[in-house]
Amino acid sequence: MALTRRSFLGGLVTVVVALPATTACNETDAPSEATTPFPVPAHTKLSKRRFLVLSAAMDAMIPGDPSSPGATLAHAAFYLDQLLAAFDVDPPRIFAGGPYSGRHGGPDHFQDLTPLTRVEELRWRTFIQGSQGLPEREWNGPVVGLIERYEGWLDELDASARDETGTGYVELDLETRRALLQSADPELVKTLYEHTVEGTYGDPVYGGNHQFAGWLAIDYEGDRQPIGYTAAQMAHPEEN
Amino acid sequence: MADFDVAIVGSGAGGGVTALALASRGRKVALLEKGRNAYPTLADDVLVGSLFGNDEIRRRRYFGFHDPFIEPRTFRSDAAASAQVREVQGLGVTVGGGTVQYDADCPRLNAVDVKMLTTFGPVVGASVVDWPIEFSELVPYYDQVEAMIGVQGQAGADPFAEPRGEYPMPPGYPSKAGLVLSEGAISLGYHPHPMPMAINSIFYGGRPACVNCGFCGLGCPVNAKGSTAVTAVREALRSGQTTLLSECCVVEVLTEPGGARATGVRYIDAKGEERTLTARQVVLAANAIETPRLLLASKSSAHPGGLGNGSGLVGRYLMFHVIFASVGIFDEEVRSYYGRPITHAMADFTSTTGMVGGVRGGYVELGGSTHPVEVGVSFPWLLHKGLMTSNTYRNHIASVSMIGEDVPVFENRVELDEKVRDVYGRPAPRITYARHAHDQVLVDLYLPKLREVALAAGAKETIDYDFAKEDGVPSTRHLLGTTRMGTDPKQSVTNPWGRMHELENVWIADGGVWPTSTAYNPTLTQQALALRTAEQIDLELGK
Repeated sequence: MALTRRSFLGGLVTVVVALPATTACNETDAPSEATTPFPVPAHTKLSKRRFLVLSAAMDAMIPGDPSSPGATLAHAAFYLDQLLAAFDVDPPRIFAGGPYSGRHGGPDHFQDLTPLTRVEELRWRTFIQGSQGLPEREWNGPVVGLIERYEGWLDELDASARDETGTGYVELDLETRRALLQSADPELVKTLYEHTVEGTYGDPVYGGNHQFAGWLAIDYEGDRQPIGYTAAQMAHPEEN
Repeated sequence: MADFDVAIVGSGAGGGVTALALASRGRKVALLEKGRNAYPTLADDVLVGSLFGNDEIRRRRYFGFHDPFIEPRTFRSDAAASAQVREVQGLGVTVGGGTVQYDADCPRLNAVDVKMLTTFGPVVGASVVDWPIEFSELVPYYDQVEAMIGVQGQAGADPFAEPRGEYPMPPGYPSKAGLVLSEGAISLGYHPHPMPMAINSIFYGGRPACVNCGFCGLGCPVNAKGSTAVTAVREALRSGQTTLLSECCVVEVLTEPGGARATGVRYIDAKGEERTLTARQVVLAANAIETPRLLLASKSSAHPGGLGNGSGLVGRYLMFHVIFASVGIFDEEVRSYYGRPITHAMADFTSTTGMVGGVRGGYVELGGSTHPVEVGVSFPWLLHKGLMTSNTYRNHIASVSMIGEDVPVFENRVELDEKVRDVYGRPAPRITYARHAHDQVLVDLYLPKLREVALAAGAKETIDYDFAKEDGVPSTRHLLGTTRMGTDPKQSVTNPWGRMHELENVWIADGGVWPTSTAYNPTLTQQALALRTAEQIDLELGK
């Protein structure tokens, strides 16, 4: 990978400053609340407030620091938002295409999303949107979708912040946000953490790991096809 | 007139090679696979790529894997306990089955593996038996399957292995983790060797050599791995004798009124329509959870306890292997995710001279692999930042892990859980499993030995890892037992050739037929057994 962590972090300053001015898909609108450092997409499956609460919670789980970007710069919240909005595009943004990303040669197959099978579509619609009383989605009973679950969790988190501190969750400092997460619904914490990790270190095609922020934070090269590693690289990985 | 000579349920390790073995003999084969076909050019003249990529998110979203959201399983460690929905085991659900995502480690068994009772005697509370076949019977099928899927290795490098000829191809590049751990093992007098594996080190079978991207566990993007999809299934399709029915979930094995013969299968097709097909012979190769599940769901007046379950043993003796590891943390970078996950192994503890405390140990893998999402979600979130950015747990670790024998226990079983349904409307499989005392003794005896290897290799410290989760759910992907083979219909489900005792034309070609779990990675042997079974099916079809 041509980027180094140092050059990337330098570049990020420009990116972050530029964020409010951009309008294209997967780029950002001006933060709705001037006091928050969290970018918000022009369109979100959540309300803007909920997106901010989500961003603040993900930032609390994987905070950034001067030498290492965290969930915010990686756009982990954008990753989740794109999952929630997966069926707003066709094919749905669930599975990237294969085999190559194009970053190391070959075409960019990842962008050509893989069409879902009947069962996969039923699975992901049910998981994201809920069963909505549709018999074909209730093979094991009613299902509350991921969108609705997140809406409830984020509202609850924001409300608990106001109850306990008198301030909304987004506006709190990092340590207070981390403390509030420790007493939050364990199911929220588990789900949120998994999505934060996925959004920070997963492939950028899913909307997170913005400009490879997550990979650079941990000195990780990411996908390697079709070049892989040579015998020399395998024998002496420390020299790469 | 039946639609097909043979209907095979499952296109993985056993089903795939069975399809090719029968198609190449001119038999008309229907190969039914619940999962999708991720190979757009699978039957073309030139095989190019796949839908798999170096992409952890696809894995997180179960692309090509068993998906517990649509196919939940329940688990309990005690038959008196209430079973809970748990993520129990996750073999591939795609054309090629578990061979698509396995590490492709392909050691052969040792002769004593099939004679554990004779060699080591009984274990109280377990049903240790000899296999009803000799090791020598497997050898020609090992040779066939190694050529079919393409196995790399170095003959003679493992002094504890049975004599054998040359491998189809030489070992590929070694990983640093494999080399470092091997040096430690050699310093202790052990005998590490290149891991035999079904991954091309050279151009072979129309498929390229591995470029060592390190993402074997997500499905090979370039088809260097010899999954059954890109080897046996592909050749079976190209023979013109095989119809692949992917995204088709078999829900019942159909039988004639007397129950002595199967007539075919009922399945739900890719559009959600219920269909049937008829076949002269039926082969079940869905894995050691899904095959007994299907048998138990196929009950009739002739088979009230489930198809072929007069013995009451369908689903019994479930085994996962006891897999545990000492994870070494090194000052130097080893980056175990560079290249194939395991490039070296050692068999010292499987030999009678290498045993510790009178308990036979298992095959030892030297290496391991990690990627950031997988590692990240395993950390407590409060410690995430420090643990991830230190890179200790990705760049500085290498594992010494053992494939330990999981003894067959009557109470460890697969049943149907009528309270939980899957997306096809079927009752979920209910797994009852608890580790036998033998298996825990095995862990206790050999973990210190694994630790010694890691420390001798230069690890500054080690972490113990056991593939049984905290709640007792094994997370290994080795599924064995549940339809064990034997000569006595009261003590086994199939005969020594894999045919069900109670049915004239139903065969099992997955890990379910294993009477004991052995001390080695099972896939190659499972495939050798399937080829042996296919030969018998062909003889039956010729009658």
